[in-house]
Amino acid sequence: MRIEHIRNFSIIAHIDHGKSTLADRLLEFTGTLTEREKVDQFLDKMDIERERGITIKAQTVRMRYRAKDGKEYVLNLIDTPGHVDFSYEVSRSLCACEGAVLVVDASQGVEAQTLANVYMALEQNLEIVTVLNKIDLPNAEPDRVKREIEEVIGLETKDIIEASAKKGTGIEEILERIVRKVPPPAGEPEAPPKALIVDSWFDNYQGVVILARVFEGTLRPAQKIILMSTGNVFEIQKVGVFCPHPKEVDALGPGEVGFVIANIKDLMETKVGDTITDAKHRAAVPLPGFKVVRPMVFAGFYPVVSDEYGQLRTAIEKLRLNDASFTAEPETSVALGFGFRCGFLGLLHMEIIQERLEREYGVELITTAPTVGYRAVKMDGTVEVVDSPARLPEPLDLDHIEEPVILATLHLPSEHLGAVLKLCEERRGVQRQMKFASSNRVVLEYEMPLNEIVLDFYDLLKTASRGYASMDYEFLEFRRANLVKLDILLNGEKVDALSLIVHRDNAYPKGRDVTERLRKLIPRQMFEVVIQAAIGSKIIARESIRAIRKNVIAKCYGGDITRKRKLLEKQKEGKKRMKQVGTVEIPQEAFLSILKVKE
Amino acid sequence: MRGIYVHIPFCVKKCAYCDFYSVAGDKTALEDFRGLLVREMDLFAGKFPFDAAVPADTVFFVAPDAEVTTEANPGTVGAEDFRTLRAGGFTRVSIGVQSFHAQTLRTLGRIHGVEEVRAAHRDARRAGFSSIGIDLIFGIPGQEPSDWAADLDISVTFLPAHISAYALAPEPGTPIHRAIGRGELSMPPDDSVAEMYEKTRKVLASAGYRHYEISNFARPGAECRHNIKYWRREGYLGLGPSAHGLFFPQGKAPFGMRTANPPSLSGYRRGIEEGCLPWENVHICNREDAWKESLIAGLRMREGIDLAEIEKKNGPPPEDVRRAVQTLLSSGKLQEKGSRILLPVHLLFVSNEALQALV
Repeated sequence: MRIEHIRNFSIIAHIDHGKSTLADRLLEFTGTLTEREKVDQFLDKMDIERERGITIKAQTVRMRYRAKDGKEYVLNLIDTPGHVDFSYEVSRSLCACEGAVLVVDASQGVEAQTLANVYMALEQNLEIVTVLNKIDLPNAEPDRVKREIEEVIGLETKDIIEASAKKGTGIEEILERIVRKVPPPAGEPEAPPKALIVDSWFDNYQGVVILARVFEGTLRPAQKIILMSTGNVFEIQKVGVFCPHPKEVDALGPGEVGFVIANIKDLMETKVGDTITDAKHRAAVPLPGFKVVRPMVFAGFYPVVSDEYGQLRTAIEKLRLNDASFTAEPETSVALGFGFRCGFLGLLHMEIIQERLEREYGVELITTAPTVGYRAVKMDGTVEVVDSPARLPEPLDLDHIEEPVILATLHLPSEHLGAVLKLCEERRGVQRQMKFASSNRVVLEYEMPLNEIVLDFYDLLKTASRGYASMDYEFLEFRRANLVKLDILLNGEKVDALSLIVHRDNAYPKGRDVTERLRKLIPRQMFEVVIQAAIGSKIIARESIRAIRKNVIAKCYGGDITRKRKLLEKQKEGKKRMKQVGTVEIPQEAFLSILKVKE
Repeated sequence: MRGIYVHIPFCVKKCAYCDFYSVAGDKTALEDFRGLLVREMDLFAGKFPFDAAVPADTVFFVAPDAEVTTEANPGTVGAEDFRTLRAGGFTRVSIGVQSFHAQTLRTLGRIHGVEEVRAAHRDARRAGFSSIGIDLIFGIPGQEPSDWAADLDISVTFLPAHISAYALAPEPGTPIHRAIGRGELSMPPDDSVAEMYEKTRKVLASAGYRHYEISNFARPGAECRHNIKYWRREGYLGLGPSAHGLFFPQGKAPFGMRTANPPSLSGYRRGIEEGCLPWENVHICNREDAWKESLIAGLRMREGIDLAEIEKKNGPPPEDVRRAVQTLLSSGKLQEKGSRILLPVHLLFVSNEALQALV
């Protein structure tokens, strides 16, 4: 393969703007997919990806395309994950490309996520091919959206491609443009190898499969390689490409994208963004931009039935084989027994893991309210990373707490500005910038504590803007804040799994809100249940649930005992969804609900 | 000694809360039903013969002191009827009063008023029935605790031997359930219904009635012997459409056998005309069933249960049942009294919370 005939590109789009459908059309047009293989959203392999319409893992496909200039090109499509939780993965995928196809919905216009990804692509000096998609829809407004692209993103729109991925129009034009506009990769086949790990996953038969982009040198079977961040050495067994099914090749040269299998057993070895080089013929410096991804959001996962702890452990171990960004450590809760404290890139990531554990492994879970990772600075100057409110050091040992702060970029129609500003202020946001992207679109930048947005901010934002606002964020720094631990007591006993870390100014309203919420969620029991919120030993809110007064089968049903028994069995079944904490039975959803804001 | 339950599925008008099987029937239908019933008895006696000799012209042997109860709805039974019933061997009448409050009776879809109740009670007594029970319902949409207190006060002035007071449970498929679903009626709050229950216990106790089962009160010695068979898990035959039975055929089902007739006249007839017992459902109980049923039914009685007695009948309890009983005892949801265990009186109206653990 001659390097000047290779084009590496990815597709950038907001959720629902048609990225996966466009990818499907490109595969069809180039004949990469046979008629038989056509499934909607071919690249999204996991069920959850298809259902939620999002891409979680990066995928690549090699397409062969004979362009109008008569030459045959190899087009490597590197499909990137499409959610704010996975922005580092997106940046690495983009890094593996020379160009990007920007897809903008002709009716929706530019959204925050589009913008974030375009900036990321521009930072990597990618050549951008802009496509206006869904041009066939009756509510398409190509002129307005073009203006937005010019004003908001600052891209030229005179040679924009109007397309409808759904109908298949504009596809050839996109392919031609990629060939002409996206530069071929550069690199020396004989140089010390440098290959970027774009993604990796675990295959039961072959171990870890690395998805890599070669920048310099050549990778081939039997070669000894080093993963530069760890210095660990492995021997390549196979290299190959996806077209779209895996196909072994003799070597991967500069500019090529493909898989590397090197008898690696643990996904932790192959960190996204790391550089692969030759063990003997070693590159002096790794590719830039590598960082270790750390979980941002933490939550406790507990089996509803304590006996299922073993099952949960096995399930988590299996999932971890395939997702190194998800962490899990055994944790014991006084209230919930044995479980795991798990770390996630973000809330969507958490939901995906939760869903997979329940769906694929059949474990029923109690999930505690997610929390961000704090830094507890102790009196003696040492710093402890706190990923669970229960693990906060004693007040006497604690000097102060630092919380993660993010920079959020929000895009919204100006008519919803008031509501969104109010929401940001309520969430302790500090405005950094507000500008009009066009006459009726506003771009806001806010510095916000991550814990204020982690659970429901996105939903509230959608509500405040009737679904028209979009958001993207990046981590800024840890910042000292006046935070306190809010404990919840049931009948005088502290329930560790219900503790929260909150800002002192919000502690009272939060305490009242949580106790009231729990009062509504916890069913009446055989005795009065007192719910209290406390900071340290000080009670700041109290609610009580009066004892149940009526739950009886009064009638005799003409001797039909079976009917009575069934009624009781049904009630018993309902109770199974509850967790007994001390003497009180708490419904599963109570643990997660406490972070939600008043409806 | 077995009990017998006969379901006669004819009603002048279906009440709004009733989910028993019944149809409107004319004279022919009644005659026809009598024939089917007799054939059902014959079929049973043929299949499961009695040990003792049965007197001529009868199918079952009836003890001379048997309790023979009929239900009677005010306004549908006259003085002559009561005399006929008494002469025919009935010893006990249970009058479906439900309420004395006009609006409440309308809500329930009852066709009688207070006067019909007085008449029925008077006529039954004149016909020679000494054991008269009345059935009441409380916790009805629109009913205030004070309305119920008045119902109780009037009830005791009749000096019935037995009073059943049932908390209304709207069953799916009944008009009252639908009306609640549509928002036309709403159930009184649980607290209010619980208050009515407490009131019932208090008023009836001071009027000399013994609270012997969750919903049943009687003068000493006037407890309904048939219903007690249900609670003590003793045998009873269920005859007629939709009737349920429990019996212990010798050597065949040591833990008992539950039968259910189809809840329709046509299904019932079909079975009998094919010459079979019309059972739609037969369940051979195992030890676990026997234990669970003994507990959930027996604990409804104020006398509670004797574990040793149940064990003597059914062998040792399954491990989870034994553990559940222990947990209930240690958490105070059950109490021990001599050799018996029972539900504490303050938990009767939330008894499901405890009984759930036993199924």
